[in-house]
Amino acid sequence: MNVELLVMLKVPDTTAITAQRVLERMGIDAGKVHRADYYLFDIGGNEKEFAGKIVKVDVIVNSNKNTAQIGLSGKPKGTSVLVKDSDDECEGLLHVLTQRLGMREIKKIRRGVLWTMECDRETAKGAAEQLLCNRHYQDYKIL
Amino acid sequence: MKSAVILFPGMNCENETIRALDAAGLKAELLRWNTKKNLADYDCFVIPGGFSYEDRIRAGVISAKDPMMDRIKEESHSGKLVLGICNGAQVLIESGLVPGFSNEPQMALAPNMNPEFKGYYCTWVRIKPNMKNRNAFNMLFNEGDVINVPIAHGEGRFTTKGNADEIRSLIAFQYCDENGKVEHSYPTNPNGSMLGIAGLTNRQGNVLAIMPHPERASFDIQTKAYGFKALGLNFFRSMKKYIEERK
Repeated sequence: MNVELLVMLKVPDTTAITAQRVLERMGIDAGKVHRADYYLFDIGGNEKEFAGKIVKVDVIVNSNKNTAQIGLSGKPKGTSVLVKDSDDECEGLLHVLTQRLGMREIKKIRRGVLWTMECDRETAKGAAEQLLCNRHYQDYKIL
Repeated sequence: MKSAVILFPGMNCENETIRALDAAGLKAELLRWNTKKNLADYDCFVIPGGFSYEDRIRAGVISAKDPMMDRIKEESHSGKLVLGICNGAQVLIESGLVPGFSNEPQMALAPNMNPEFKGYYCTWVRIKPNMKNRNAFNMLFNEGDVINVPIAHGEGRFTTKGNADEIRSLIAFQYCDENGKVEHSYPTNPNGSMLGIAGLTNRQGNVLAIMPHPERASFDIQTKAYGFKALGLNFFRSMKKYIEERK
């Protein structure tokens, strides 16, 4: 069973703002750029119960500065690009969640950054290939 | 002879870099990324270490897209020397200036990988010059030299999905053990860098991206407590010798 989690900033996201400005300067009209940390949990057990727990884990969601949502349905409108490190097995995070915090229902974790832009797919692809992703160690997917 | 240390916002190694360049006889001037000064007035350029733009998106990429890098590329195409140290190396890789086969990035400096832990890693390492790639930065080193230098980075792993054989010929420095033997396993190779690469040039040999910090191992005061010689200044002296020979 897979559970997707998005973690966004409540405070201004200076990384997203910077990305937007650099894209503009590069001549890529991506519109407003939003950024979220993306997690994909492969779990055994009850999905709803896990979802209720994971959004309260403060190593992932700091309630002082983050909001979190399960699934992608509530993400900002626009074209989304998911960028992941090709060989990131998230061993450290998996160890913390399963061993330290006892969340042994988690079998595997993948993580990445979800960039959402107010533009079409072609423009989003350009943004990914020219700025957001280095394909020598990362992969990207347009959602 | 004049050198320029190019400072992007968030870089923090400019002072010791200037000190090393001055000691090597390359009178250094600090130029900020948005300077209007004419780069043609300088003989060589150094992009120092630090955390430019807070490593937003990924280390070095924002600086790599700055108009200053177009100006630096132009100077490098005329044969002038460009040295990128640590974050400066990340900027050179993300801008495509190293290895320089095209304007797009042909490599990455990816997050460290070693069996003990991931993330930011500070330690002393040993590197050796690859004398099959004689270039502006290793002219004063000899085969068999073992250079003790510190590293302090989280993304220092040279990697590529391109042709590794093309990259091999551009290796300037590799991680080695105390006997100068290149080892690809930890702890000799601290970050899992392909082919044990610590520093890589372009084809012309006038641009070097190096992850260890030679400016932090240039004077005895920096190294004597650890019991080894300060050979880092030879990077900068090599640059001066190269410039003198070209003039």
